[in-house]
Amino acid sequence: MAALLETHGLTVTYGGLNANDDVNIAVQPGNVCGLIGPNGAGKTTFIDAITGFTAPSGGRAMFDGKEINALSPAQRADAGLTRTFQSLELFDDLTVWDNLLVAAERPLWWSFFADLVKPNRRSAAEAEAEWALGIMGLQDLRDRLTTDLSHGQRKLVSVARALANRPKLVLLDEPAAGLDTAESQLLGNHLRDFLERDITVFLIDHDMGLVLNVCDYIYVLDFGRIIAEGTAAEIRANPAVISAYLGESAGELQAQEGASIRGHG
Amino acid sequence: MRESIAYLLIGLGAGAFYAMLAAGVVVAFKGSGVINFAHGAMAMFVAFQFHYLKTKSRLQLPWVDFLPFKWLNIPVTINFGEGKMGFVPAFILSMLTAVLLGVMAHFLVFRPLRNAAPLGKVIGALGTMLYLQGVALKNFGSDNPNPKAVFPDGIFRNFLGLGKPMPKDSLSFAAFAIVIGAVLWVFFQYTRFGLATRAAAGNEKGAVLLGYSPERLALTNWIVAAVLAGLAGVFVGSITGALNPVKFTSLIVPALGAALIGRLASIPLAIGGGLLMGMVDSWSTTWLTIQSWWPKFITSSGAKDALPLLVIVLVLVLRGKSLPIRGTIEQKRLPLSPYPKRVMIWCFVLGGFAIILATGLPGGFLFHGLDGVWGLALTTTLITAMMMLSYVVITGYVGQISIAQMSIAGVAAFVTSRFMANGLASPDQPFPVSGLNWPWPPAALGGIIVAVIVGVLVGLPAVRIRGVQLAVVTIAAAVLLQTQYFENDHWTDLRAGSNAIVRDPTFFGWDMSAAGKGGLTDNPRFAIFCVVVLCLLAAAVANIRRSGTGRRFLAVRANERAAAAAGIEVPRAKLLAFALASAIAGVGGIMTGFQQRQVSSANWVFFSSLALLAFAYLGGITSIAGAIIGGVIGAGGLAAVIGNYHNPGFTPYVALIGGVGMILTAVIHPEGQAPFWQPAVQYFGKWISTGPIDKFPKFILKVLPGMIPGMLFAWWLIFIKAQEWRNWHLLIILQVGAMTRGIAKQIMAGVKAKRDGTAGAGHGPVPPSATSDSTPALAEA
Repeated sequence: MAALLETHGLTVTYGGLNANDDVNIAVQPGNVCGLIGPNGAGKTTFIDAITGFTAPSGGRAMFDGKEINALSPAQRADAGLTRTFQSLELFDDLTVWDNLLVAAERPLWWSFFADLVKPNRRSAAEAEAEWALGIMGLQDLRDRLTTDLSHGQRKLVSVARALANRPKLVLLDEPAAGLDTAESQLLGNHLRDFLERDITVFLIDHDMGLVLNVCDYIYVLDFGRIIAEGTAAEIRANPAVISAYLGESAGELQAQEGASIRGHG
Repeated sequence: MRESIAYLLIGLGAGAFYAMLAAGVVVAFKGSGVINFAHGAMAMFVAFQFHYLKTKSRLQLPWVDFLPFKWLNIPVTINFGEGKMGFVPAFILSMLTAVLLGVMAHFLVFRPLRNAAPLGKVIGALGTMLYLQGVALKNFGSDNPNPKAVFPDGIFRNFLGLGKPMPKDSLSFAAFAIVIGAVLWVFFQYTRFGLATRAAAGNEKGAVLLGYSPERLALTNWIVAAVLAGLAGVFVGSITGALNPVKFTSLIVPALGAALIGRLASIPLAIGGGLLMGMVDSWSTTWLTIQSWWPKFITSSGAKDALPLLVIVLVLVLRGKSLPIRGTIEQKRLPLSPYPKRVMIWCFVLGGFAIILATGLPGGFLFHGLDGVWGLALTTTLITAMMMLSYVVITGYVGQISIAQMSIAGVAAFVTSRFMANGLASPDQPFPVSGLNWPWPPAALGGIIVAVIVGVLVGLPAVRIRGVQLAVVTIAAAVLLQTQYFENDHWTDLRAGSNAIVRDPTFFGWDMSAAGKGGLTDNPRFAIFCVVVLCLLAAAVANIRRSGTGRRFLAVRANERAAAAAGIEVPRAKLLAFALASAIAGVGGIMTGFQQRQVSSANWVFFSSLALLAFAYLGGITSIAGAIIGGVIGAGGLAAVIGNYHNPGFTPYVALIGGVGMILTAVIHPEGQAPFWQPAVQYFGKWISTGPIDKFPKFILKVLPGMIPGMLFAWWLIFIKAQEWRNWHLLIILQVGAMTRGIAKQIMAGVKAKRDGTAGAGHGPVPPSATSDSTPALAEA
């Protein structure tokens, strides 16, 4: 099967620093794929480069069989590649519902003129937004302003917004940061639901428990380079990952923790 | 070649003045992140102070005696004996005045605004400017003295053998600016204070962690900036001739250009940029534009006026990033934009009210039908509200600050007039203007289309830059439109500074002319025409807010990065907003043309855009109701005309009150006045339509106690100041009551938040909609 998202030798340079150095990944459709790495490894830079927020200095990104290097962030979202932000970046002047709707709607050339005379036209976007609202369990918060929500709720809204235009692939940038264990586990369960809607997930986090438990395939990034890839079991066992990223004892501890969460789940 | 060099050198004098102002703008920006539009006004105030100290030994403090008592007065004037004063004491006292201005600007305006949205800071600076102009008018009068140059004057007959005369003081000015620049540079480069200021400008949080108080740094920088303004006014200001209260304000445009050459950070570059701009100014007006190859469609001041624009646009566009990297520092957002409800009902109620005013149907309570004064005030209110709707779209919805909306309105008006012109002479138009001789509907449509094109061009820089920097670009564009189109007879075909004639509109044979039987602006049909147009525009803007386009606009305003990630083409959304706002402004411009029956270039200067923006902000820039209120309180609107009509002698205070009002609104209540009125009117409307009479008294009982102190105060002011009771005084009493209740509530909420310890770094009263962001700071990745 052809990979949904591929990068070939993707390199991002800030000044003299290679934030991403020759990164090659392939995300298969219908998978939950993970990217882990310590702080400063270049994870967010990688997401920014794929979604068009940072210009790569070398390499190519292919999405759904087409090269996307020249597309704007909005065009990539239109093509079915959406993302969340670590710092959420919600539309704080809009309600939860409008946050989702604005991502689901795609204007046509005449939309503006129609809006001038007839607002509130029914659109297919509403069903999409409704679905995104439902899958993240946000129905009760529908008409609230995002500024009135708790941090965990805002996090869910940001994920729902990335899902609202029914993307093919959603990139989640540290969705578990700032969540407690229960919330984090709930989120992990949600991720599996996305696959039923043909939404492939690319998860970036340093919460080892979450990544090792839900991801089918995992890449490990350190100092801008991919140092290991494989299934959760392979990554757990990989000595390079344990020494370079986790540190020996911490690695075991995390791995055990991950195993115990899986045991409960 | 030798000629060119001589002309370049002659420009050093003006260049020195730009350089001095630019240096002050840079210092204020470094210290507080504010682009100080009031810098020229500060220089003006100190220049006046110095002149009156030297000639009359009179010191005027920067405020007025507003207390309505005979027995208790606020000291305004200090007399140091009779006659003239020596240079040194006058200079010292002037510089102390400058220090006082800096301290006041910091504590009363910019410290409270330090976390405000960029627009709030712009409004604060504009308010300061209006305030200083108002105070100068009141305290120094309007007799426009001609101050003597401080430096020795005289002329080098043949300077450096270049064959041209050169004024001596120009050289002294330039040397003075360079010395001041060098002193400042050393000061910022080698003192601990300078280092701390630069550190805080780079990362305020970091400077706090190192134990520096950004407050104290900002205060010191404001004082330095004000003293620089004072030095510029006292020493170099004489190059621009007679002093008057609005002096120096428009020189902020070249000064900003120079400051931007220094990226608002480097003083040597700002000084060099200022000198350079002065030199190129002089060279282009005296040499470049008289060359035979110079295109005739660019006026002789063309290159000079285009220069700041080009410099500003180039510097900003080259510097600007299309999308900011990661989230930016926490800043308060613009107030929420309310979801418009019951637009039709509002149109009928308010439109009907306006039509009643126009036709005088019931007569009696407020007006007696339409005469020239009321007709002008009513139609001006309606047209101003139209133009303010363009600010609701561009600033309220999309968050872009444009100071060229009046210029764009002017483009529509001039183009419409030209399309109507028929090349014949008439009593109104002794010099015939060639044109297409179109009737008004296609001519107006053409005007709107051209306005949209110009508006989108003006908005193009917004794709890369935002906030205050965009405001600066649009000011420069406004200046360019003014001199290169409205005042350029190559394009307007107007001779001898005459005005362009606009033919009266008709509607299926009905005469819709603004001029009725009395020949003044007293035709009720024209007022009805305005009501209909305003209602259509308001409905269109409300529809945009309630639809997908409006959601995308607000998403762009809230967060451009996230908007792009959500699939919104941010540049397209911004340009669409500029196009819509320009069309609305264009309609307003054409209606102004119909109202005045002619188009004059003086209507569209960028200061009128600033005033429009300011009053739109006072009314409430994020809502349609705010635009309507802005139209009522705006220049020439119902409120001002009623005020002047009944309380003559009030006029000198208008700018002053406007300035203070702007500062207070920006600091205390960025939502403007609209929210004060809306609940009451809505409640009243509900009461009328559904009739729960039992609830209305409850509502009154709920709000009235809080309003009483303000109402008593307003009644007392009117009782003392006004000659007699008028019915409309009741409206003012209610308004002041509602405002004071709102302000008191804000302050109490702020005090409560502080007591509960939730305010954190918050300062003073904060509107609830802006404080709700309480998400914990996220760990840096």
